[in-house]
Amino acid sequence: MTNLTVLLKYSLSAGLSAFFWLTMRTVVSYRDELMMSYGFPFSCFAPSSVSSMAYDLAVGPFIIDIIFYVLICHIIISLAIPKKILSSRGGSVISILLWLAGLGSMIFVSMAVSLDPHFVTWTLDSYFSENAKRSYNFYFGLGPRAQ
Amino acid sequence: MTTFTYSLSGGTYIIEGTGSVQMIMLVRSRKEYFTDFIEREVKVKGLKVVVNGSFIDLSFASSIAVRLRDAALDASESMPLGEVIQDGKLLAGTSSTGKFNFSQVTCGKKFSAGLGNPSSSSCSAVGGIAPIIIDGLPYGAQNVYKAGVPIGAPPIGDVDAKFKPFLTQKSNAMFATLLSRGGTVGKTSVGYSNIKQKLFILSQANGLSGFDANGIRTIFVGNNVNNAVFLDCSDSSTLYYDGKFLVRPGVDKNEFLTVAVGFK
Repeated sequence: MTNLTVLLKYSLSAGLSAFFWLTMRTVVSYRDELMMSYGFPFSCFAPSSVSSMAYDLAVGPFIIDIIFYVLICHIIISLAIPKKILSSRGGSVISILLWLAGLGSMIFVSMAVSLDPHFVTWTLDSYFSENAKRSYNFYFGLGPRAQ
Repeated sequence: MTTFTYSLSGGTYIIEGTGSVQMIMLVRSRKEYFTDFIEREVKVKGLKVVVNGSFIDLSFASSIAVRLRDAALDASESMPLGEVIQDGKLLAGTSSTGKFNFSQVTCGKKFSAGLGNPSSSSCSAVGGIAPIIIDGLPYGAQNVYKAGVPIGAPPIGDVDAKFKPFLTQKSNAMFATLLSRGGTVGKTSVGYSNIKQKLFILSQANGLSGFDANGIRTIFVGNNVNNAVFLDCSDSSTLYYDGKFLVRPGVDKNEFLTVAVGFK
């Protein structure tokens, strides 16, 4: 099984699922104000304070985050799972399930976030200065909620 | 005697209310579109002006349901953020201490605004919203100080007591975010001038060119408004005036918005 086959059968779908289910929540606070954003290694989406169920989406970090997740999944799958399992019939079933989970997660999150989306190129928290305090923690679940 | 007048300036509808204007909070309790709810309440309560009110949160499942179905969401699935008070009773919403409120403490009298939850004894009030002017102090994307301010005054955020006498504009993250969206994002705001004893209701449809957040603030400042706030903006913006909708909410928002602010 070639690297490209592993990528297409497993890594892409596993990366997509992981991206939408397991992420990092960043809380930026400065004095009396704070904002939350989601994404790893870079924050790529955040509930917007402009309107109900509105989200700000940073396109650059979003693309990098997806590539990062797929890359990490590819390395883990290539190193940790024997080729014999990957190319077996059971492996194909797992591949289908992973694609269903990945695409399903993407569709559901896209639907929720697209209620009132706003796209920016890179920075979600430009209001806060570099002196702002940042805290990070893992966030498990499909899609962020309002602030 | 209450009088409302209407004008359109730079894509923004400006309603001015004088006399004993009464603010009435409306909370949807049926499974119906927000605009249908407003039309029904206008008739029942004899309202002249209605705008959208609180921010609304939805569960992940409800937000997907809004996208999938072309039907109003059950009112119980919409969760207002910030307290909604009418006649001293909490009608809906949650505590929202870090945000602002707009309230009419005594029915038919002046309006005020402040940080945190509204007074629980208010005649009517809405919380969880963004500031424009609070007790005469304008808000913006940054703190602005008069000349002579001591070194170390923070550019954003809370201001220590020693800097406060120099503060001419207070920063606010919600205001800054709205400002960054420019003039085309929908906006709904209300303000009150103690000097003129006049209520101002401003509304602009989402997607049309209009004033940015600073421009809206300029209108309020120019009218000697003491307290003004932004309500839920973007395509939540809704304005009903004198028998018809001048600004309608987006299709999806119309399915789940729940809190409206009426005036008569």
